[in-house]
Amino acid sequence: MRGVLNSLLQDLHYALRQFRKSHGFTIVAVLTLALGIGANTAIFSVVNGVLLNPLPFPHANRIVSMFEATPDFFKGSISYPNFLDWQRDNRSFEAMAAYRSTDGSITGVAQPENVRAQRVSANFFPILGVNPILGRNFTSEEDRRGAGPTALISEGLWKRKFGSDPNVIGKRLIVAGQARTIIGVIPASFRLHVFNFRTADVYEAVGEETDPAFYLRDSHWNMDAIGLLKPGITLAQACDDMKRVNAGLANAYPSVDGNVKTNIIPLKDNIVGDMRSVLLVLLGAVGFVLLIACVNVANLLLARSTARQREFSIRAALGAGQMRIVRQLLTESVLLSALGGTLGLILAKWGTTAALVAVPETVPRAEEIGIHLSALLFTVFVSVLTGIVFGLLPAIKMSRTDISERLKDGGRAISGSRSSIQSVLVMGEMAMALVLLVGAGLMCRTLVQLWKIDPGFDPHNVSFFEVTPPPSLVNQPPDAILAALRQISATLHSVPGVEALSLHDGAVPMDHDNEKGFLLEGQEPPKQRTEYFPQTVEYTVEPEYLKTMRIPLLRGRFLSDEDNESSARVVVIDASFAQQYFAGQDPIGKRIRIFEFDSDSNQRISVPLVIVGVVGHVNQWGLAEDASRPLQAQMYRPILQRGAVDMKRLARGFNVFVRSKTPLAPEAFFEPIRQKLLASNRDMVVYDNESEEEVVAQSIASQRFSLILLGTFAGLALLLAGIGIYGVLAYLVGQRTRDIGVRMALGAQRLDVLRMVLREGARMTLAGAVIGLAVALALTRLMASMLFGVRPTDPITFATVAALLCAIALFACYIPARRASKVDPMVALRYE
Amino acid sequence: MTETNQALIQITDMTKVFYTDEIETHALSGVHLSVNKGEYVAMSGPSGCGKSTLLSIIGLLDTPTAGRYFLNSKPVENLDFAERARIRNQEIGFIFQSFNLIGDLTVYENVELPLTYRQRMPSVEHKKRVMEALERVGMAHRLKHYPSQLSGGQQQRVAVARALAGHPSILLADEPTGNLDSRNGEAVMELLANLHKDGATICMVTHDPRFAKHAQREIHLFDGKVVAEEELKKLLQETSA
Ligand SMILES: Nc1ncnc2c1ncn2[C@@H]1O[C@H](COP(=O)(O)OP(=O)(O)OP(=O)(O)O)[C@@H](O)[C@H]1O
Ligand SMILES: [Mg+2]
Repeated sequence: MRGVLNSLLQDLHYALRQFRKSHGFTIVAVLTLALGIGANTAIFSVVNGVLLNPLPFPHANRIVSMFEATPDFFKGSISYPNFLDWQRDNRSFEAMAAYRSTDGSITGVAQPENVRAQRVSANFFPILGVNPILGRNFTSEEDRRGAGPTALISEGLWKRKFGSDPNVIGKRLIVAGQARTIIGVIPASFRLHVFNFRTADVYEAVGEETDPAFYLRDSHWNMDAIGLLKPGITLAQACDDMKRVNAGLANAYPSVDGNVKTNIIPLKDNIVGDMRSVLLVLLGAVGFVLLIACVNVANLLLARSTARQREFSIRAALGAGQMRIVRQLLTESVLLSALGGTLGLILAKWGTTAALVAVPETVPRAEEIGIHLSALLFTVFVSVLTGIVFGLLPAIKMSRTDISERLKDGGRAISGSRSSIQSVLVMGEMAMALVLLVGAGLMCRTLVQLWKIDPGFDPHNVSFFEVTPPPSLVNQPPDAILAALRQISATLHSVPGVEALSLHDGAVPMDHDNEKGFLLEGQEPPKQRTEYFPQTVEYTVEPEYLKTMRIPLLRGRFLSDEDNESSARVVVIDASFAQQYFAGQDPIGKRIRIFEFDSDSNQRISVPLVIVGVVGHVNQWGLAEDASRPLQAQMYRPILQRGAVDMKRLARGFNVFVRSKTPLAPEAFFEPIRQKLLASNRDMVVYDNESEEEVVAQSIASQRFSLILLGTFAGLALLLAGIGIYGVLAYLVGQRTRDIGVRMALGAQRLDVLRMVLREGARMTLAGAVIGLAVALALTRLMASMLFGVRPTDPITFATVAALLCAIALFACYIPARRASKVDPMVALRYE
Repeated sequence: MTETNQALIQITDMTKVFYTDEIETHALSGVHLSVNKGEYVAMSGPSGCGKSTLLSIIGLLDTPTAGRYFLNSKPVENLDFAERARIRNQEIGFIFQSFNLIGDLTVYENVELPLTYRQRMPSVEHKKRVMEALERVGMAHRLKHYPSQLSGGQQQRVAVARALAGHPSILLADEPTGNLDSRNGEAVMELLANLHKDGATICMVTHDPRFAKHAQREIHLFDGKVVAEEELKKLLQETSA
């Protein structure tokens, strides 16, 4: 044991001395490895944080997300009465909790501030295993209709607004004009981000809602749910159980629930979403980068081994066995990659931060990404493995060549076979680089295709922000609310530089959806709800919306100022709506019916709308997704013609779209607007300013993220492969200087020699490219879901990228080739 | 030297100076030399006297610092690289001390090499010339072998065949037997003698007086100058004294 340790120390000591002796080689090798290992550590830490790590909840693997599936939405929102029945009738869940997001301004404590608020069921936090650091969770009594308003607040809000007051429990907090009793403080460590739920500052009980419309079985108020499966219950069993529960609901409420379906997916899948395939593709890509780095270092070692042949023949002559020599060489290579790994770790730390900053909000669970223990272990493992992978081949090669052969003929016969190994390695790395380039190329074409898509509106110079009116407005009658809205609109119009603007509610292109069921003229509502009402995306706007967004008017007219609360209800539809429901007819003057909640009769009543115009289709679901979404029909209604319930919602908050006359930084444009509004009323909150250009860009953020990373890795691979082929050719030229001199003595022109070396490089490159194309053909299928408007086998991409690789490789070859062509033929005369 | 024979090589007052790190080495100083068609000339002299330098200038591998050089009556001392490469290819056959066969190429390919640098020669012609040359040196049975699979003597015979394949005006050999044992050296010398008998012009550098005897004429170099044999002896005695 001691002997082994001693000889290991000896090996280490010797290896370090070797590095000092040839520091040029050491630096190049360590840098190459650092890039390869660093990229892997970075992506691994992302994959680990997002995909591998369990969610930070005690029963994470039993927690599922639940939705009501509809023909238009796989993850449709749940009606609250249905949710309550699911909760009561199921047999496979320990608990179920609903949630939906709202927001509102906090008034009464310092400056009014708009905060994100989440409405959750009483057992929402218990399911997640989150305990308040102060106070308690909601009781089921507090989660009932008409219960006294309570609130859980975030640790952040507690610090910010209450100075971490330990006696905050029982204090009052006014949220959206509603006084609430604080019952607990949720720790800052709690984080969850899924559709309809974001870590918030205020949590309220979902069941305390007083609006009767919320309790209609056909109301879908953007509510989703989570459930905690009983131990041992599988997802499939839970789905079957919910089918049984829904069959009961269909029986009891055939006109509404005839076709109700529950969609259950693991919470983690809901969080990770599409990112899984992106991350796995990236992990594969960095694997290739590392392999290429390994190949380069292996080639460097092979080249060096020629120089070190003497050393090892002497060692062998002194009686060192083959194993001993292999071990010595492996010690060197593992040490080399350990150095590379250490440097790589730093690169990784820096790279992950940079990547997450470059494309924020793209990667779920980003806050859980970091170089933790598992990433460290991964780096150590990869480093050692890397050292063995790139070190083994040269080590075996070197320990095998027998001494007598080395002494004979200056080692020329050996160098022949060794250089052929190097050529094969170079072909391999060319192939891998090509695969990565194809991936990046496909992503690049995807992005080009996406940018070519017409969003249906002109996002330039358009800003978007949110307004929360003074909390007192909520309790005003509809007339007063309308007057306030008109007042705000007029104030906004008086801001210099404003070209057009529109107050806005409902769906927001590429940001937020809102649907409405409707019936065509003469169409009867289905008796049995085995069919759904036709659905349309609903935008609530002012007449200037069209001008603000520069959406083309195709037929009839857009909404006007005359379409107000006292005139006939009108609607403008989009081209898709017209195409789908009025194909071959003129929709102008036709009627549709929608159903609005009437608080007097406490039920929905039919409201007829006259179609007065047709406008262009707007990209609602994001550049990449819009075309593939089933729901395409869109309609626009005047904000002044909304019903009483909608008026209340508008009083809580709405959006504003503004077009500026000249291009301005969104901030520079927004600030005067905000000041003007605040000057008109101090209790107003104006926030969340975003330019429409950002919104459009954000809709393809995941593709941009993939392109940036794949592009970086492909660039790295290309660089390494270029260095690789350069290194091998430079080595070969160095080895063959004499041969080249002889050829020149025999009459070879400089061009002949240049061509000869280039041909050698081209041979490796082309062979590598052919292999790479074949591998890419097989692998790009895996990224099909990331692509848009381009097939995974797109011939243009394949051809362009192969041409790029060849051009870069030939450029890399040109340097040694030129050197070869400058060889002095006199070397032929010099003796060895 | 017969005046009626046209001089194949005519060198007058040639000097060659090497500059390295501000040190001037006068490798050749005022060399006059003429070699006729069909002559067999041996060059000898002590180490460092400039034999290889002279041979490399004759073979257009290097250019003189001053002096004139007519090859086949054409001035060649100031040609550019490409032109010199073309003349090397067509007029000159090299035989090196260390054979200098190319390890990655077979015997056949090695011999064919000078022909591949010649424009527009049909491959049938290649084959004919290569086989002719290899038969001439008795190596036609080893076409597919690689140099590392041949003995030193065999390698040098292949190298001679390579020098012959291009049908050059002159064969230049720098100590062709230097890396061979005496038996193999003898065989190569015999080969050169036979080639000369069949009309080849040969310039050979050699240390070995036995081999120099094969030549028609022996040129003695001393310190970059051509000297008579008696003078050489005198000079050698002076330096050793
Ligand atoms: N490239 C060069 N740079 C500098 N000096 C050189 C160069 N080549 C030759 N010399 C010098 O020129 C002189 C003549 O060299 P050369 O090789 O011609 O001698 P040689 O007669 O062939 O000797 P040997 O019998 O040892 O081969 C020597 O002093 C040598 O050091
Ligand atoms: Mg010499």
